[in-house]
Amino acid sequence: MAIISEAFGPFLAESGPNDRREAIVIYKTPEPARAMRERRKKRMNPRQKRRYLSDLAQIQAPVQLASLRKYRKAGKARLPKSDPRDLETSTSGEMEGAMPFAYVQVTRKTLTALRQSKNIAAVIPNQRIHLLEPREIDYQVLRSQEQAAGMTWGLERLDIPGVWAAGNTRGSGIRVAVLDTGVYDQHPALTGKVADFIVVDPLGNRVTTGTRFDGGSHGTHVCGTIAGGKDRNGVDIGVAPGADLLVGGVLIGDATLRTLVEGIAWAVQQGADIISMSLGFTYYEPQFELLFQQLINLYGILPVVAIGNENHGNTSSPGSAPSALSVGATEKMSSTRTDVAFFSSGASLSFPGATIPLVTKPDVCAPGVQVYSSIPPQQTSSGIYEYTYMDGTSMATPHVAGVAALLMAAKPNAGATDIADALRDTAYHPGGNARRPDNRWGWGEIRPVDALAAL
Amino acid sequence: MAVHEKLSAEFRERLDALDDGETMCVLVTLASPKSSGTPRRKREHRKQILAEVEVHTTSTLDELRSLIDASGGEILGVSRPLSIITLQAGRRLIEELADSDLVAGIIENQPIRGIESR
Repeated sequence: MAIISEAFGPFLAESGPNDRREAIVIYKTPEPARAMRERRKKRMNPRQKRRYLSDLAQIQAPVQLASLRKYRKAGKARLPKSDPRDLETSTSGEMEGAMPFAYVQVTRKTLTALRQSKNIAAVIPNQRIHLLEPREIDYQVLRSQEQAAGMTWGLERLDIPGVWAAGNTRGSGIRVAVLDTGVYDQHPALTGKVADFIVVDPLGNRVTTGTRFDGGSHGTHVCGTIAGGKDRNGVDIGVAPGADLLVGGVLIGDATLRTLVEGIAWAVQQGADIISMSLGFTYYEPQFELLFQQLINLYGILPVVAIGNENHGNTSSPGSAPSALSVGATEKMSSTRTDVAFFSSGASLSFPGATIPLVTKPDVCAPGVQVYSSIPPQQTSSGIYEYTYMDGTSMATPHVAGVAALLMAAKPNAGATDIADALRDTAYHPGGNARRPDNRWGWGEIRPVDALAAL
Repeated sequence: MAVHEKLSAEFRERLDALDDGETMCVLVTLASPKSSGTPRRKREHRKQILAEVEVHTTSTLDELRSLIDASGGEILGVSRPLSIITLQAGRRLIEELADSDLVAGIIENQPIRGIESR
């Protein structure tokens, strides 16, 4: 039985019985004779390859052509007598038969008939394709724009100064735990921001170190976006510069789930209000839902988790847990517009019979491409660097964690669920609210000023 | 799969492939006490809630200890604030724990990674 692409869904649901749609039919290719198989195994020069394809086409073309004739005939029988036009069919031109596909017009009825064909592997709708739109933002241009604005593009896009003013807070009194590669707390943008630090080893042991350090640069970058101050050019990098950071180095060495769980337990004991996690693995693990429900319902802690950089159709745990506030990444396309970054993950998870039968991830999006933030100092041939640009849902997540800190500080009576709901409800989806949530934007790119007003 | 079954489908497959005498490192989430009070109260009373959860974890673990000891399981660690115990256990013990009302779920310990910046 042939596979009919799910992308035909709108056509099957909304078209009339005789409406036509262009489609691509992919054939099951007949197994070539042994002599052909032997030729295929050998290394061929371009001329030999062309000859091989031509010979292959001669074998396969009759199968395709007979199949198309049969399809046109069957189609005619299914069309109304008032429509004299045959269903259009064509193959791939010069090398007809070499490629196992053909173009056909389908109707709802013939599509159903194609499903029964023994010679067809799949049918997909012909679609418009387009160039991936190049970003109008140049790296150097962005840098000068951020210096002129006095803040990163992410802070400007989310109107963080608007939240600072409307909420009369920069996150003071809120404790944000960052479970990551650690932090370089001597960084000038992070001075005095790290309230506590611990390393958790792969066996789940808590290791207190004399020096706070970053096993890479990821954790310091994330911390800068949550609570960093200004860089040397006066650019604000942090969303909630008044918040206290609790940094758990759980990604130093070979981390395991046990490491992560102990890091979460430590954050709970240190009084965290939010736990920011730019980490994960690639299958759905139901136990994280239990754990996150406990964090939210028992301790009032909001788990904010990156959804992953695996592109559309994927999610990662623990971001895929229904109770996680999962975050996708947007990128700046022009001075007024963002789009979801091509790498940003998202999918719907189905749980037949469960209280929540369908979970759509991510929950929200935030700036996650060309994010400027702090790193441990790095000596290069052209000098010492303390800041850099990074891309990823890892960089979008601390924007949301920082905003949650601002909202919690401004609205002390709001619980973790209230904060998450306000961020989802007020998020901006360019397709309009009727499209929300979907697997690219989730509920949309967060609008912190509106979320504050909604609480 | 339900939103939170006690064992995930992937874990069940791994468990089915486990030979007699073979063990694996698992994290066992104990059934937790229900929350009470407003979110604001929870923030202010974190220490009190932590103490209550730790007592609950300890008493639940005591109830499970004879089962664990009888089946040769080894307790590697306890995350009391989260009511999670880390165990080295064989297939039979894991299945018995999954059947217990005192256990909410079991997960195999496995590597995690940072979501790489690009």
